[in-house]
Amino acid sequence: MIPLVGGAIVVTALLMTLLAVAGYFSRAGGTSDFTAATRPAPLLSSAAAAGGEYTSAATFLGFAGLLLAQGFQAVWMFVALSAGYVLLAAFVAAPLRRSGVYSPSDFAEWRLRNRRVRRMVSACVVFTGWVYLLAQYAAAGALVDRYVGLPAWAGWGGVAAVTLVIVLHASNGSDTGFQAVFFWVKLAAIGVPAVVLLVLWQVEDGRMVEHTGVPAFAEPTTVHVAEDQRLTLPEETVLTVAGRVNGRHLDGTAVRLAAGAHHFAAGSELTFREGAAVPHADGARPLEGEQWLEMEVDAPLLGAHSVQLALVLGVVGLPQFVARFYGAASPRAARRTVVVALVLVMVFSIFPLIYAGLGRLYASDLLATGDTDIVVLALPERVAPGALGLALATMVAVGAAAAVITVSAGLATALGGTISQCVLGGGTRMFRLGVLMAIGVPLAALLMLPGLADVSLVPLVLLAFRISAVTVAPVLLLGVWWRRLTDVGAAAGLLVGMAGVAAGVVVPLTGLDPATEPGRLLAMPTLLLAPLVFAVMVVVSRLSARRVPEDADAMLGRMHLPRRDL
Amino acid sequence: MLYLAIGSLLVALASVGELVRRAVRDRRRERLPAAAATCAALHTAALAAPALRQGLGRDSARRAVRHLRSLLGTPAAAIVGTDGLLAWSGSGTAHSAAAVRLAHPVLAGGRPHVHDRLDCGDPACGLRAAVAAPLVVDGQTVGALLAFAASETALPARAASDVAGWVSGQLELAELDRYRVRLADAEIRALRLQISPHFVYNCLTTIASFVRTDPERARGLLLDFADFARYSFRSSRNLTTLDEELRSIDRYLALERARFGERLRLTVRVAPEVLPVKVPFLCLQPLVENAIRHGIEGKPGVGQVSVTARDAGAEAHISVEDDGIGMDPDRLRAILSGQADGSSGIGLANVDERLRNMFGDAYGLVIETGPGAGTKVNLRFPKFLPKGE
Amino acid sequence: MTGRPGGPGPAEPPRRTVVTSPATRRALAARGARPLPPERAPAPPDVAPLLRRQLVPVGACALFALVTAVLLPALFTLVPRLDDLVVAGTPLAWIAVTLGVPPLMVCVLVLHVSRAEHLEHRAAAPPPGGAPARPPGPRRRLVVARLRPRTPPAREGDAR
Repeated sequence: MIPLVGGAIVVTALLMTLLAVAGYFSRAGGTSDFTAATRPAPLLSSAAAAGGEYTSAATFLGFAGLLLAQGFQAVWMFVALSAGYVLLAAFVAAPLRRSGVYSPSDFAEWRLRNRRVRRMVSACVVFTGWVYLLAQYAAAGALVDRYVGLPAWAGWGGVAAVTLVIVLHASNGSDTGFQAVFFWVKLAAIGVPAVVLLVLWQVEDGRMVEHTGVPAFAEPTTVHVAEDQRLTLPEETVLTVAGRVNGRHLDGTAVRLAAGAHHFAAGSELTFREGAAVPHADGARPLEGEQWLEMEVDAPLLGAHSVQLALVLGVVGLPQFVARFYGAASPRAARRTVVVALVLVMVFSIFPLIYAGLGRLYASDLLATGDTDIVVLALPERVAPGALGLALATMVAVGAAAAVITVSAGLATALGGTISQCVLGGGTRMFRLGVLMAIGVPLAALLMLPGLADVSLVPLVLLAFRISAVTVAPVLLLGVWWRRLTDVGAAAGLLVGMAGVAAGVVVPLTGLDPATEPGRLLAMPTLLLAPLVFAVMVVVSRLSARRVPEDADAMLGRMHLPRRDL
Repeated sequence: MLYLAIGSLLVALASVGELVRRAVRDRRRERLPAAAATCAALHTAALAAPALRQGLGRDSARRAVRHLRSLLGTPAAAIVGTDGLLAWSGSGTAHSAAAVRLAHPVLAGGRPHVHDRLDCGDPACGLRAAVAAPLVVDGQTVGALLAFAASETALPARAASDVAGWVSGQLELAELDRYRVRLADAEIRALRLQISPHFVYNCLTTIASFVRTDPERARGLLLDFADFARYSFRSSRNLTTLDEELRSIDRYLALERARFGERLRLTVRVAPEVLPVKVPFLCLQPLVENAIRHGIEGKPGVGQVSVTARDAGAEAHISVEDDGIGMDPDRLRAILSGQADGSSGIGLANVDERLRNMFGDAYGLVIETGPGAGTKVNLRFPKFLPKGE
Repeated sequence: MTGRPGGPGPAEPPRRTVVTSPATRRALAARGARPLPPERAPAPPDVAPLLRRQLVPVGACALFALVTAVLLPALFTLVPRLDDLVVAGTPLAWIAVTLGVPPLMVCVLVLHVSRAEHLEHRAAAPPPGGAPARPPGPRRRLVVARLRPRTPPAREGDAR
């Protein structure tokens, strides 16, 4: 875009990283006062840390982009996430804190007395984390690509390096303070520009999203088609094409194209007139203003509800949270941490709504390239050209960079612990190796599989939530609340869940149409898969009732009864 | 997405391949008939062993008797304790009531005993003979293993007493396990007693010196002393939280600071995440005491002692460091391997041993030291114990 | 991190050696060491009544979460007329989702948490040992802090 902006952002991001690392060490500085040193992290700070580990690039950038592309109905996803927090606080926070487990894998081994189930849970956790990390890398690549003009791999490498430095030094101190500080940074970075933009919008014209009409270009615009793509024109449009359209070669001549999908070859330049309707890339459906504002879910209901359910249950199984409970001062504190974190995250997610609304007014041309993920970054300069816009854009970019880095750090710590415990055996060196694997594998996947980087943020994060929802979450929920869960039952459920997820990823690619019967059966939506996993766990556990650990009662007691001492 | 799919497909293929490889390998192993029989017997025995290592109880007997029956190859088997039938496996449950009566001569005499002409009144029940073999722990008969068969000739009398001998061995090991735990408990008590005399004397002298000049402070110190004493005499648990342990050290240090004043400089650095970590009771205090002895005593000027607790993934790392006179590595090595004479460093050795007892050898103390180079004692604690208390 | 403590004094020429007990050295060399399981917990308390009593509040909470997350969008989709309802110039659905659902969720959660804590404490109320349940929180520490006059922190500040 503008090299100046790029430079400014690079400098700021570096500065921020340095500050972060420096702040880390100074915070870890010693004191001679034991009472101060052994004070547990305050509730607000641990809640902010829990919120900070969750507000990733997908929330920071992807959510507003999704709202812009799919309309307001995407808000339901956020409602589902909040419901996930409710489940987390109500069902697992306090019992897990009392049980004293550090990770979902620990929980599986402790509750079911089986190392193999532990390994299976670890595999699920690690896979979830890797997919989640992939999303962070993809976001970093997009940021670097767009703002600095460097190739995307520079962004991936940068994030990997910074995360590695932070996590390995985090092992010299504590992670709560770090995550908490950066939650506030992120909140300010997304909130302050949002408020300023709202004020500017009111001062300027305060126009509302029109109920009729599709997004239109506010000025003559040239769209560069980077790769072969199908663009959907909402209405009959006259445009100038230099390149190939629908197999026809055109040399900068004006054509009239009917409403509907058209094929454009890579390298084509399309010039639209002022007031022309914005074409929609990536199969996005053009939405009239009224449709955009609606809360009606227009995806097939089953699919939409599957996403909802995956989000609700997915939150429960995310590995960062379980680790956060371990560090809580008490079971009460663990519960309260989730409640406060829910409030904080709710406050945070007001802002993507603002960006999406303003984006529909000022930046709807992003739909033409499918780059809706960057609407948060692009908006400040659209609304306020000049120094103010630049400053706000920088602020938002710093926030996005912070989101990528902090969430990567949180994930890498959790995964590093899991990997080192499960595969390598404990110890400092093994933990470092584990962190290296946690960070390195997604990076290697991105480098070796070039198509991976093009997947946009939200589907990747959804996949991570889906894995967690049909594997780790059922084990946690049943293990905490149902005495008769056995290792065999849990293992069977985990296998079904993993197979279901794998099929869901594979089936759409094998050419098997998910709409047809066998395809639908294989690519089972979460709405069916999650109950199936629960059912398999329950039925197989009942069938293997002999294998209920003999001290299951004691374990349940430990999880549910407050203890008088310790 | 495509690549993700290919990736997962590859992983799936690899796991299938591994399964096939294992199956083929297992098949190959079973080619030798004699070896296969031994292997099967050992395998069955190994299945029964974990239950028996819990000691002889209703629950452990229930879990073990199935495997013992398949080891004996009889239609039914039972385990009887001194106070009645513990477990029955196999057909003819009508005999289970008689099992206690059958076992009685064995429990009394300690010799294997064969009964024929059993009759339960049920014509469908084919059990007509039984052998009872004693389970002996420490020279005392604690129970009997019974095997039932259709006739005396089909009775594996020899095998039954051999299996009973093996079961007795496992039960003795279980007893040994219990002794080991009791020993560790005793050790903790022993360590607790060691704290007192030297330290109590010093404390009381220090407090006495404040009684006139600063009665308020003397009062505070006495309260500290009382708190610390109460903590260290607490007897119920082996594990406590790092939080509690650090607080007790705080009280201890308040007393030491009163004694050394400006000469003791202290730095604490604790990550709040590791405060709930379970640590052995009184595992840090001896180390801090050691650091103060080496950091300040025997050295002019100011001594620095720092306590650091860091969060490291699934573990908590704690170190206690001083900049004092250091220790001779060879002597320290001898202390840690239990070969040193004299009483110095016994606290270190004790903490080391308790840590290894509790968490495994890999969690012993790692000490960096040299003459004149100060000492740094590193401890690692797993954040989670699979069977934690 | 093998840093020296930052105390004053001459640079120390002697180097430190790493010492462990022989068993630890062997265990560390053969990596992949895992913690030993310690002995078992005694006395399993009876948790079944508590779980039974919690069934209703917990079920209600789960139902609420699933209803808001899964059924509410279905409601708005299957009954499109709801979408057309406008209150004070704003669609009802918006008000419901932005102003209604989040506070409701927090309220339900807070209620549930307090209720669950109440139930748990009641379940743990008859202490077998006799001592009443120590209320959680830093009360104990406050008492300690009040009783003990600390060494003035300023002095340590000067010494550094």
